[in-house]
Formats: sequence, C-alpha cells, structure tokens
Amino acid sequence: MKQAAEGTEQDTSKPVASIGRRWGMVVDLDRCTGCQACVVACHAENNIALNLEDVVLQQRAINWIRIERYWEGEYPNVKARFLPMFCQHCNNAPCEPVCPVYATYHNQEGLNVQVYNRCIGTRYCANNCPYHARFFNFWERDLDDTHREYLNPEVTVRTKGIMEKCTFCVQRIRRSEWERRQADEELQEGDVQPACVQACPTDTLVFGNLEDENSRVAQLAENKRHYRVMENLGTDTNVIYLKKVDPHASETAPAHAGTAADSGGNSA
Amino acid sequence: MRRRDVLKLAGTSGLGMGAAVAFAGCGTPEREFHLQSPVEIPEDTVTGLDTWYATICQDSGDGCGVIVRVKSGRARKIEGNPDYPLNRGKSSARAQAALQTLYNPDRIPNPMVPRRNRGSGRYRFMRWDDVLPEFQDKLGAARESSGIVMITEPVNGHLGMILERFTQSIGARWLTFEPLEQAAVRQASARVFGTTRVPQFDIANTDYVLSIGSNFLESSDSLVHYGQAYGNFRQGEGRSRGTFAHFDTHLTMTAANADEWHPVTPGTEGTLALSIAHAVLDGRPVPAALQPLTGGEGTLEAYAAENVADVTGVPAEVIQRVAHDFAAAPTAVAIGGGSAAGHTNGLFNMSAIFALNLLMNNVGRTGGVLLNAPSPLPDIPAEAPVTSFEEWQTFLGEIESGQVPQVLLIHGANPVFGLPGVLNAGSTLDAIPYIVSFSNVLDETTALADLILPDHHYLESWGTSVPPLGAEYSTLGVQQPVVRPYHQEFEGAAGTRAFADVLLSLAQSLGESLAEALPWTTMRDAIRASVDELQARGDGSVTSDDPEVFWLSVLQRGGWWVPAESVTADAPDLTGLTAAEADFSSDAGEFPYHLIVTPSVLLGDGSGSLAASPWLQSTADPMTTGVWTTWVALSPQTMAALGIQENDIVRITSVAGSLLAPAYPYPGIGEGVVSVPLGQGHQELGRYAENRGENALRILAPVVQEETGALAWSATRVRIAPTGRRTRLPRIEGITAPVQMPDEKTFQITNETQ
Repeated sequence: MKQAAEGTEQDTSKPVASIGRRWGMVVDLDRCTGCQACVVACHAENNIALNLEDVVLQQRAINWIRIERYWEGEYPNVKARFLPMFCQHCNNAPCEPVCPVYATYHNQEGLNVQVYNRCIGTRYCANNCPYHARFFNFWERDLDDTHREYLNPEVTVRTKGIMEKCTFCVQRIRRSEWERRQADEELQEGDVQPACVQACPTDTLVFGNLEDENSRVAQLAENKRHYRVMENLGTDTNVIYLKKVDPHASETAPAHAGTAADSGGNSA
Repeated sequence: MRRRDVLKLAGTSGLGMGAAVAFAGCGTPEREFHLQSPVEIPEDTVTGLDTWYATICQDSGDGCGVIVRVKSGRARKIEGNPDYPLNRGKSSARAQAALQTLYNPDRIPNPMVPRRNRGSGRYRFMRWDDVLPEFQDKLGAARESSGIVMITEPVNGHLGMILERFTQSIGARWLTFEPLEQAAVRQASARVFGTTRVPQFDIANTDYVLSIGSNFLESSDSLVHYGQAYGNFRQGEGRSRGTFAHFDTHLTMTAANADEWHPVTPGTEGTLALSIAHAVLDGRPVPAALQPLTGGEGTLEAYAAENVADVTGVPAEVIQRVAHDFAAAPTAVAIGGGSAAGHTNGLFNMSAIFALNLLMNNVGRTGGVLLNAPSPLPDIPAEAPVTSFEEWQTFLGEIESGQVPQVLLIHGANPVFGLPGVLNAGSTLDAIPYIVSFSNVLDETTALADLILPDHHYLESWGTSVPPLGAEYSTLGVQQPVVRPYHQEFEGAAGTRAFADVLLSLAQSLGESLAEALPWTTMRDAIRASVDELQARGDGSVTSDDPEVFWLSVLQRGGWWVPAESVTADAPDLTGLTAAEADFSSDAGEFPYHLIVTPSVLLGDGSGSLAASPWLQSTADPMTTGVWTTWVALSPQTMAALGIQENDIVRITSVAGSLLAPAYPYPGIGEGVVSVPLGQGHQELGRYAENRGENALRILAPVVQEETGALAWSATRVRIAPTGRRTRLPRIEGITAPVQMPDEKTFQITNETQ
C-alpha cells in the first residue's frame, strides 16, 4: 500500500476504470446521538448472525456498523462522544492486496467488495483493516425456524468460515439500477439509501455518488468540518466524517479515547 | 421535510389507485426478468416481487408510521413511513426489531390452558370454539355481581375507545399500567400549559434547549420525532447551530449530546429551575401566573444562584451563565422529565421547569412549546387513561382484604413484573379465581392465567393511533394487517385472534347494552366507520368522492391528517402548588446512595415484550455498550471507596429488596448516585429474555407522590455491598481493539460553530 503521506504522486481519488460513479457516505458527528437505530436496521437488512451472549463474551460479535463511544475528560466535566464506524470503502484498501484468493477487491463503483464464495477464511483482510470493519463467521448459524421468516431474500446468508462486512447495501443499489432501467433511465440522486441511512432519525448519515458534483454527499464532503479517519494511513476512504462541533472545546485539547477504568478497549 | 412537502406528497402519491393498498412508489414493474446479486450475479438468484404496506408501529411506544416490506408472504423489513407526520420516514431500533417480536419463536400460537393447576408452567393447546363458551359464561356471571376487572396498557385510538365502552357497558373496572408513571409530567403540563397532553417542544426550530432531567433522545413521547428534531437543531439548513444545556443526575445518552451537562442533586431539579428563573428575571417582579409557585411576587431571592448552589450541587456561576444564555437566545425552550419527575416533589419539579417557558413567553410560538393538535375524531381519544400507583395499591389492598373480583382480563400490561416487589402483585392477583390473558407471549402476569387467548401481533391486526406529538397536523394513524396471521397458516392450528375482535364478538353475544355501545363485529369495521366520517369532511391528506377509494388511499398512506387549526388550552393555573423538598424511602445513613432506574433506549422499561428480540438484546447500550444483562453504573470513586472492581458482582439493597449485578465503572456519574438500566430481569418471556439480569423496578420502595398518587420511582435510596463474586459483563466495547494514530485523532472536534 502506498502511503499518501509520503508524497507519492499517485492519484488515489478515483478507483481504476471508474464509471462515473463512486459511492460514498458522509457522517456528520454533530448530528449523531448514539441511538443505535442504524445498528438494528443493518442487522435486519443484511441477515447478520444473531450476537448471542456467548458470542459477545467470546468477542466474536458481528456488527457491520457500530457506534463507538469515546469518554473524554473527568467528572463532572466528562463527555461521551459517539462515532458510527463501518467499512470505509477505501480507494486504497489495505484489506484488498492481502487476500490470496481475490475474495475482496475494488469494483468500478468505488465499493470494496467481498465475494463470499471465493473467501477461504484466511482472515488476513481483517487483520489488515485499520478500522476493524471486517468480521469473521466463527460459527455456523443456528437460527430458530421462525427467525428464518424475516431473512432478506436478496442477501446471502453467510456460513461458517466466511469474512463479511458492510456492503453499502449493494443489493439496494442493484435494485434501484434495475428499477431505473425499466424506464431507460440512469440512477438518480436519492434513489439509493442503505438501511442505516434510511433509519437514522437525525440524518447523520448521507449516502450518494461522490463523483456527481451536485449530489448532496459530494457537497457535504467539501464542508469545512470534513476529515477522514486515519487519513495519514493513505487509505483514501470513501467515507467522510464531519467534525463534532463543541463550542467549549479548544482545538488543541485532546479528544482522546479514554475509557472506563481497566476495560482494555476504547472503541465500542 | 416541511409542511409544504408533505402536502405536495399528499397531492401526488397514491390517489386513484383504487384497488391497491400497497405503499406507492415502492413496487417494481414486471417487464424485465433480471438476475441480481449482492456482489456479482450468481446464476440462481431471481428477483421476486415485494410489496410495501403502510401501518403503525405499536412496539416502539410512540405509534410511529412505518412501511413494511412483504415478500413471499413474510414481513422482511420495516422502515419509517416518509409521509407520516410524526416520524417522516425515520425509525428507531425498536421499530426495526418488530420483525423479531412478530417471528418470535416463543409466541403463543394457540389458545391454551394450564395443565393441572395454574402456574404449573405446562400448557395444553385448545381450539377457540372449545374455550370461548366457558369464558363467555364466566364473564356473564361475573357481570351480574360487577366482578370483572380489565387490566391493559395505556392505549389511545380505536382500541382505547373500544376498551372504554366495553368496560363501561359491562360494568368492569378498567385499570391501566404505566411502570414509570409520568403523572407529574402530565399534571404539570395541565397546570402550566393548560393541557394534560404533554406538548411538543419545538427543538427543531429553537436556538436554545434547556433540559432538566428530560432524556428526550432516549425515553420520551417519541424518540424518533425528537431525534429528527435534534438533527435539525444541530446542523439544519438555513439556521444557526442551536445550543443545548442539560442537567441530570448522571450523564445519560441525551446528556452526552448536550453542549454542557451538569450533575444535579436528585430531587432538587425544581429548586434549580426556580434559581434559573430568578436569574432570568434579573430583578424584575415575578409574573402573576407564577406567583403561587414562588410564594408571592418578591420572594424569589431565596433562589438566588449562590443560595441554592450547595443544595442543588450546581455551581452558582453555571446557573447564572445558563440562565443568561437561555434568556438571551432569540428562541429558547425548557424541557423537564426523566428521574426529576419521579421524586415525591415531581409535580413541583416539573411545574417549575415548565414555568420557565412562561417567562420566555414561548408557548404556541415556533421554537417554543407547541400544543398538540386534537384527535381528528371526537370519539377517538388521543389520550390514554392511566391508573395511578395509589389506585393500584387500593386495588391490591381490596383483594387482600377479601374483596376479590371474579374475573380478571389482561392485555398488554405486565403489573406482576412492573409493580414494586413489596406489593406482591403476583400472589395477590393469584387470589382471583378466573384470570384470562390476551398476551401473545408468556409474560409474568400471563403466567397466572387460567386461559390464554393470544392476540395477533400488531403487524397482523387492525388498529389506530393518535400520535403523542404533533402540533402541525391532526392525525389518525391507521394500522392494517400487513401479513396473514402467522399462526393461522399451519394446518390444524387454532391460531391467534385479534384482541379487539374477540371483545367485539363477546359484546355482540353479551346483551343489548353492549351490542349498542359496540355496534361493530370487527375492529376493521370500527375503523372503516371512522374513516367514512373523515371522508365526509372533504379535506386533509386524502380526499375522494368515492368512499372505497378514500378508504384504500388512507390505508395506503398509513393514515389521514389535516393541518391543525390553532390549538387553544386553558390559562396557566399554578394555584396551590408550592415548592417542596423531595422525600426519600429511607435516611442517608443506612442507605447512602440514590437509586436512579434508567429506561433503556433499546428495551424501554422492560414491561413490553421487547426483551424477546435478540437484536435489541445484543445491541450495545449507547453509554456502557453492555448487552444481554443488567449492570450497575457506579462512579469509579465510589467503587474505589467500597473496594469494588469492574465486573465484581455487587448487591444493591433498598428497604424493599435487593438485586445482584456486575459493577460498571461509569465516568459520568457522581459519588452519591447509582444508575441501573431497566428492561431485563424477566422470569418469563421466552428463551431470549428469561432469567437474565435483574429488574430494578422490583426493589423500588412504594413511596407515593402526594399530589398525583403516582409512584415516586426516584425516591428509593440504596446501599451497595461487594459480594466477593465476579462475572464478565457481556459488552460490545473491546471486541474491536482500539486503534489510534499517534498524531491523528479518530474523533475530531472543532469549536467553530459556523
């Protein structure tokens, strides 16, 4: 992986052979309340395995999107900050070159794609992902009969040994493309909303085509508050965060990721 | 979405489609046969057709409008209804999870009776025709001696109307159960705003939100509505960023979203509000309307910031600064609620907080306090009656003293779980000779039943809802069945039946007065009759000359609404209200800590069946990321003082009982306060809920709010002791190892507001 920070000339803003479409998301941290609607919406849309208590205790829970909670400061001047984290769909994705079987690759729409039936479960990609956005199916799923009834027929039910992660609800993208094609039309702004975006009550999440200058997501990505998580790694993500506004914070104060006592982890 | 957009939608969507009830715009044309896949195109994947139906969510607690994706006869996904005024396309974790209460493997599929005796835990499935005649006979006999009691959740809309008429005509006593009673909020609203329907605080359009105790983003009349308003308040287009100050006993999720949060001593929230009023008035006389509360025109001096700083625990300069910002903002709104309403002086707390809005003269103004539009139909109640804790005590006391009703009917309420343990609601209700439950899950109260007549899930049945919030529109949300009742699909199964339909058919056969009061045979007929009334008005979101087209269009849109005319309410009347200090269950010597029971943003207060959803169980609590169980949030200082480590099991003891749960070091809580999340501690409710965690409602002391008769659920004091045992609190935090760049923050903050 080339490090953008080292001043390489490579233009990483566009994936190979772009088709005029690069899906991206803007996350406005000033809007996010931490309500978890996106998390449950994602589980419902994408047939994610149930995170039973045992699985959580084994630290093998799967959440394509999670709300990280960062403690900051000391009581009574303590703050808790919420940050939605999911696959950043990097244009320079660290997960892609390490896959020995090309199960993960970059497609023409800027999506970082996981091909389930190629995956052999080496887990190299998860180890190489700085965002911890990839999850491995350690268990064959054992669904109650009635819990099969609501599965989304357009999303594969993954088996044991498969890596999975956020797809930007690619099934919804394909669906919208098809619906537009019925009328000989191109995809329009606003046609596609991943499940998390559709649920989010505060409009924290905005999804769209970053290559369309007029799209809302492209315009928000130019907002003064924009940044990318771990930008220095040169991953060139397609997810852009907008900084949380805190009138009482001084720019130099550490927004450190402290955590409760000895919990040994600072992302939720 | 603004009002204009909704009306525009009203003009374009759906009308004239005649036969289709499906939600407009979501169907797919059939012309192309297309193979599709999540990634590439596997050869064996065929696009089927799905249909979206609009209905009302009864699981989320606010009756938000939803659209449900149905494919191959099964509900597959729930989204917010983009047309519905309350939630405009958005949804909550709870609304999403209704798929799991619908397809809950532990739903009761058929009518059943206990094998051998009541409470044996083993049941025999029955056919409806085999059990209904006996039920009807018992009801008829008990009616003669006025021996029928009906217990339900607080419910409005058509079910509220049917329950009221049914209980009145049959001479039954109707009790409703609300575990964390909001009587203080409602009555303070009646005193200050002139209506017991708690108004809509216009957070979306205000410049300054002052919340004392109200956790409107996690447990309020509608967290989706307020979530949406909050997004606009922060970064809405065409407005400057709003400022939000929050005072509460501990750092809740809502508090975490405030620009500044300050801990306040439990029970002194009203004093704090009057101190803010003192600073806002800045020497001006107290307005006449507020004088009863403040004890006359000139006496607010006692509440000067420096005089109350010690009592409330809020520094004087904070009070002064917040009051100044509040008063100086172009528009500002003050919200009260949460644990502040659950003290013995809850009515004073709430009235003093709400009265700050009178100082700002913001009632009925944009960015202020907006009164809710009435129900569009006079017969259909917008408000649900709530039985006070005092009345519950009286009722249970009467049974203990021998006045035992003959028949008890239960629907949607779980008093055995939700009432304080010292009331022994379970063993007391057990004295009633014949108990019938309409619950479709086996909860703690239903476990006492002699006959269980399982209700449909809300996605399988008819109903209506008048939204709890809504100043702009007078709304009737219509809930239609979106899938066939699941348990009727299996050959030979008796299946479930809609509660309202069972009541209506009973009414038909129980005599003329009942049949007259309830002239419909099904809930659908009752709703259809109301919708025909709406059609006759000729205005609103749907209009048509053809009643059939109108009906189908209303179903397709998820309801009917009309822009509200100006809403009037009584003038403020604070007569008789005086400042009061909070009393507690016991003294601070033996029980040094305040117990604050905190409803979960996911599981609520635990009285419903949400805990049966593994999605909600396994989704991280926003603050602690804990899942699947109960924990005790303690200040790290308190833990150090008591020699408690993280994950140590501690015993929390009140005068009314004790519970065991692992300790969680919570940076946002003071040394005198303990917060325990609600939602767990079920003995029943199926495989995903039973026997996990503890129910903190059980150890609440039965302290009553004098003016309202409500349970003072914040008045319990506790002591904490280590047990020497340890466990591991399951939580999402730590599953993904922390990655921080040395010179680059993951969470970035700016102090530039523009």
